[in-house]
Amino acid sequence: MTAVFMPSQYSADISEKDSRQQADMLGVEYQVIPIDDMFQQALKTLAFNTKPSVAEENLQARIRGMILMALSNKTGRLVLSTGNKSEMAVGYSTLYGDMVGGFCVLKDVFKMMVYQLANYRNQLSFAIPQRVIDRPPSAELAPNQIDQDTLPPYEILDAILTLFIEKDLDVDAIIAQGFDEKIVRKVITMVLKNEYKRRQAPPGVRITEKAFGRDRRYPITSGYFV
Amino acid sequence: MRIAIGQLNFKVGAIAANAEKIINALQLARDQHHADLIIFPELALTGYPLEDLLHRSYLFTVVDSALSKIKSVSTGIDVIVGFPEKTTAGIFNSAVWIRERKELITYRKQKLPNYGVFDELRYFKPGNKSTVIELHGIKFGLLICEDAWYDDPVSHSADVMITINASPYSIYKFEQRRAVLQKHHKPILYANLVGGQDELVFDGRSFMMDKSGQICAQASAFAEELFVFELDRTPIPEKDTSISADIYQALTLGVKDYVTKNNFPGVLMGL
Repeated sequence: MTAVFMPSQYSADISEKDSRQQADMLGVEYQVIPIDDMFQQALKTLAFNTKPSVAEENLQARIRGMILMALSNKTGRLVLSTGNKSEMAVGYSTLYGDMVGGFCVLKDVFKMMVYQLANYRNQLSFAIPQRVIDRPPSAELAPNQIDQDTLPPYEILDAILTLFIEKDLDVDAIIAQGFDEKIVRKVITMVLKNEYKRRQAPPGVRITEKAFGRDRRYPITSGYFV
Repeated sequence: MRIAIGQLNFKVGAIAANAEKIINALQLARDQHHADLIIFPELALTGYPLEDLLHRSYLFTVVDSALSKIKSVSTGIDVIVGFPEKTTAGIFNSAVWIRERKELITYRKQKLPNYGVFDELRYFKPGNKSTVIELHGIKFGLLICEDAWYDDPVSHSADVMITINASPYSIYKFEQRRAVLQKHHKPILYANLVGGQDELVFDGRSFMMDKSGQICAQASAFAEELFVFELDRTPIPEKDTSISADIYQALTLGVKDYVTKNNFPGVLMGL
């Protein structure tokens, strides 16, 4: 296994420190490939004449995806993609960016369960620095960005996703359980809108009765909205 | 009576290699463990699920020759093997019971799951006959996976039910299996597949249950095992399991089998 850290100007110093420590503790090879030069070159070539947007953010994720696939071609190794079920559900992931790869280990694992598994793993032997678990999740694609700029807190997001995806409840029934209507509608709209992304995602281990894939087959082209 | 369950990690489509695994296990069960019967999981010979490989007619040529090979060494022990059976009436999800090199009976799965991850109606025709086989004076009924979720495939005259399965893991699945099987009020021998196959992870955890629904013997979770036990065993204490431990094992086995069964020399991950 090779872990590849691909920092940009938006990567926090502690990201490198913690990821290196984790790779050391697990005894895996660790490689650093900065993406700033490639990113600046791409921006120059594209010459966007507009305010920076998600296009510039995702360009960084896609450069990282391209690097991983180049390394995969050179070594024959399989790229594992890192998305989890919460991200896959609402499309909080970059197509051809962090969704790149042949197998997605956490595809059917909601974010709150990822935390639970991380703590479980540390009980077996210390393998994940506590700060990796404790710090606010961030894509690090823009200055001081955190996941919760875009998404509701994961406790709430995962609860809504569980009711909508795993229990097949409709919007009204979810709101009736005490969730904010605006948040529920936003989350479910994101789920429905992102079928096209999920359909292009790598396969991953199924651990629920409603994994994305054979368990849950929705049309991509659909006029059904909430 | 001593029973063996070949809770093994078969690879889909690797029929000759799977047959080798079956033969090694049956010889070990007979020669070293002195088992009277060895049970292999649902579609053990081909792996599960075969999906549209079932549309390749050459697959059945390979299945036939692998089955003949298994039969030719099946002496001194009864053997139950799951395999896809092609007939003029269609393809069945079947299990053959072999005794002294001969087919005693071929049982055809009656209840075909067609929900969730299962597409069995796309490929298989349902069987329509339950069966009872006697061994050392005990009458065994034989079921294949989904059959055991219903009452009608269960033979009333059977003393003990055998069910062969390719039952994938999901959270609380083991508890679901137990709850469903308890309703039959018969001793049950449950043989499950183990290993990762694309998205699916089969968790093994084969077991023997007495007629009151208590577990009397249980094979390991998420690992291969030639699981041998006496039929007259009494209940064992409940095993403690945690959801985190189960999910962690499912994920690691799923990734490991995806990487190794597809012959990748390693993995890369962006941090």
